[in-house]
Amino acid sequence: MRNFALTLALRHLRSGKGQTLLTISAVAAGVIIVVFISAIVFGIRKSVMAMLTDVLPHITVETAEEKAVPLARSDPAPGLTTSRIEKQNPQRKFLGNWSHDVEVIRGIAGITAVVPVVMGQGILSHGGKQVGTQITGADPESMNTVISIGKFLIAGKYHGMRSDEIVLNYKSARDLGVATGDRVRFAAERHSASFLIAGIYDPGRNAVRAEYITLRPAQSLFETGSAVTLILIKGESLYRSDALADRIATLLPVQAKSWSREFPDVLGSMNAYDASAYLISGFSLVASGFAIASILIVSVVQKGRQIGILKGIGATSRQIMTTFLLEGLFISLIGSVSGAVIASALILVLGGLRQPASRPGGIGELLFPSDLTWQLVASAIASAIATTVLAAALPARQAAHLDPAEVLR
Amino acid sequence: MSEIKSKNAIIIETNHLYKTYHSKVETPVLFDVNLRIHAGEFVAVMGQSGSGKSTLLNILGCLDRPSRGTVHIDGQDISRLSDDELARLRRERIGFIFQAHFLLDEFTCLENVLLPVLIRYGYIPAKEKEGAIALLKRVGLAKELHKTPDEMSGGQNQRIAIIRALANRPVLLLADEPTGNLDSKNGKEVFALMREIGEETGVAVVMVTHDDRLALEAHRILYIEDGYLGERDRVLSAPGSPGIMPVPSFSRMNA
Repeated sequence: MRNFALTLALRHLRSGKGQTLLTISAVAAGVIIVVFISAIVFGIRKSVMAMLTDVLPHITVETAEEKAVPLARSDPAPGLTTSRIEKQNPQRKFLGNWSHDVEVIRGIAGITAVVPVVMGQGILSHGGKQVGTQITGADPESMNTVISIGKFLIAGKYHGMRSDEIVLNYKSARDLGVATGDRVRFAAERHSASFLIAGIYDPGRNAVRAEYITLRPAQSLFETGSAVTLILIKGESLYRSDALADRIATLLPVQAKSWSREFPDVLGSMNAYDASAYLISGFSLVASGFAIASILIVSVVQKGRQIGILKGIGATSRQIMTTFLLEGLFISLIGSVSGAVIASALILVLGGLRQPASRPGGIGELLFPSDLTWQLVASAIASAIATTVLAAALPARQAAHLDPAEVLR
Repeated sequence: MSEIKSKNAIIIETNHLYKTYHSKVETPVLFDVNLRIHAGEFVAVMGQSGSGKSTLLNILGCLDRPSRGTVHIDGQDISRLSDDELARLRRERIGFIFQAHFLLDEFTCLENVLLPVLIRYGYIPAKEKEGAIALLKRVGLAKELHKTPDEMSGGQNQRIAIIRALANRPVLLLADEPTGNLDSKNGKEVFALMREIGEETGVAVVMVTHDDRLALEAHRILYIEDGYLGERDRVLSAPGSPGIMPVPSFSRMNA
């Protein structure tokens, strides 16, 4: 026996096995919920963001839209005039001055990759089979810095692709029944060309069907001459793309679209995920706090006489209060650490589960994408300890203020 | 640690002590109690249930404060002390024994005895531990040192409670019906132990009891009726005399 409050707190925990176990479980349950929910939500966010980063340009630059102008004017009756106002298609859909545009955009701070591309729609065919698709012509090395095609390659190559070669999306290759080395024909509106399949890539089940060729053949297919249709841009941060897009639009007479404005739902749902993770975590901590407080209050009531006698033999209110706070501290330490261990184990086990693969022999996406970091675990433990000690404060005060004359009567 | 007090040192002195409980109704409990108890005295307090015995004991034990009047314990005016100072006074000068032993089941017999020492010093000095073991051996509990209270009999536990009350060498030992839960044989043993230790250490003992025969062995018998304290004529209460009756003319005298 060393310190009185410490000794008594440990003896209380040891003698009240059921209560101790119950309170420890309440803390552990809170921590499990916090760690698990947060890791999953942050995991989903991370995988969505990674997906966006890998397959979407942050900013797309295209020619400015024409202003809407009155198209026709008619006078159906004397004194009345109607006019039809319509947005016109741009006269030129191409960025003729793209090399200058690329220079300007590269000069903007926060931009990491810029690639001029020609993008268009067409029909891909092999034998009697056809699929409608979108084709992008760009320099493979630059393209790969904006959209990670190389990373998703499951056969063949993308880098060093020749001008008569194509990299197919897995879905297109599957529908056409082709493999690397086969030839496919791509038909645009007015021209068509034959390509040798250099590689096949699979960006996952949710990605858009898109094929890749080099810039020159795309310029011929879509008759852009030396111009391009789009400039794709990647910045340092996904979240700064709006500001960067605005900056580009002020510097150049072009239209710059940021991904977050094109897909506002994605960012909105990410924020909703985050908010619900924090909310669920907060509520579960509060709930376990209440559970702990009520168990400890019952324990103080049960120990009323003991507290009275201890005060009778000279224990101060502070010593009694310290005893019950220490009990709360021990419960929170053991509960939160064991909760964190259980939650982490659960995440590691579930984290190995995958969805059915999108292609035979492929690796499916994670069933529970999770982002388990030591910061998350540490902050869950810290907030559980804070909650528990706070919950123990009320019963501890109650114990400290017990009137010994009252309980011993 | 307090040295053994000389026989004529005043341990308890109350002057015009009144106690009234204030709840929904005012309940007066003690009226004008004037009391003086010296070191080494063994005083029995008698009276019917609800007469105010326990209230008096709680005030003398610094668990409660008087409503009016003064109480000096070992020279200190308790109405001037803070709660922490009262706790310290209880810890260092006063020992308590209750009807129930109130030992802590979480601790062994020896640890229970040493609890007041632990509360006081924050650790157990080796000398105190040896002293406690010696006392426990003396009362025949050598084999029970490491048992917990729920493994022992009522008489054994009450003996441990007495030794616990004396652990910090108090000047005042307050006992609220210490033999009330024991059979007569165990009761006598416990009582004898209290007297013996009281005489050895010079501690003043105030014992509330309902047992006439035990009371008769005290140096003095105080009687409380309806909140008034008196000292009983020992001759009237000699063995064989009929039921104990307070002498009305004594009820307001200085005991």
